[in-house]
Amino acid sequence: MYPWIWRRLPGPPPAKLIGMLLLIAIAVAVLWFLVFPWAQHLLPFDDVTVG
Amino acid sequence: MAYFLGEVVFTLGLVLLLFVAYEVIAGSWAIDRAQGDLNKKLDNLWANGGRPVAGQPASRLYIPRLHKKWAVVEGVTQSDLAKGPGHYPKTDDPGDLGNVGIAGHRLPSVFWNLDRLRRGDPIVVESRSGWFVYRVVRLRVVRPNQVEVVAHNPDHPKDTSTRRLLTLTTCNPKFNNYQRLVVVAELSREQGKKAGRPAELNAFH
Repeated sequence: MYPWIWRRLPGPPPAKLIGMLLLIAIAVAVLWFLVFPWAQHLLPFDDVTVG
Repeated sequence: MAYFLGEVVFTLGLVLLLFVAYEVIAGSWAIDRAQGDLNKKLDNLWANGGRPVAGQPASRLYIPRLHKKWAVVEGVTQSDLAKGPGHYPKTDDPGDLGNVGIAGHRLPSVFWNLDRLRRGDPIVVESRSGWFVYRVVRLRVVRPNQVEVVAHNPDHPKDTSTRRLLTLTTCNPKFNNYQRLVVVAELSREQGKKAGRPAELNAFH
């Protein structure tokens, strides 16, 4: 998967590295701002009350 | 194929680590932001009088040992606790006979280090009418269904109470929810608003 993406990124290795970091940043942003806020309430980790 | 599977499992591991970071950091940020509004709102509510309203700030809680203070929300729903500690609505009011129950997340901006409290540590509650200095009596770890810890009389849930208690609950251990950490404190003294901040908060910034 990662070698496959690496081969398809354009330009010389430094440009590929920047492209890879950009893709990682996009993935993290999507998880942080869209997926996690939605998933948080489906999981029981924020129970703190008795009852 | 095995290589591909390894990559997927590795990626899922990273996503889970990121989720743990999200739970702790994003939750704490949201509470820090909400607390600013709550404190302003609380001053207005106190100026206008009246009973605490669900979802609105009702009192302030200070724990000098942890260098922490919060506006406490009335209610313990998820949306209440996303703003800060919450007062169990059916429990007693600060200073009253019985038991004041307050729940909070095990997050750095709330009850993260609640286990560091020691017997005798002051916990101060500021209500509209006065200051109430409680002192820690005991720390307990209980199951989530042990509702008697926030009962009017926790030791004898069917009887009326002769003590003035304050009970804080949070999840235990950190990052998990199969137990509750419970801190029980008893009122040691109180003073009116005109007397100013209690001496127990002197070292407090």
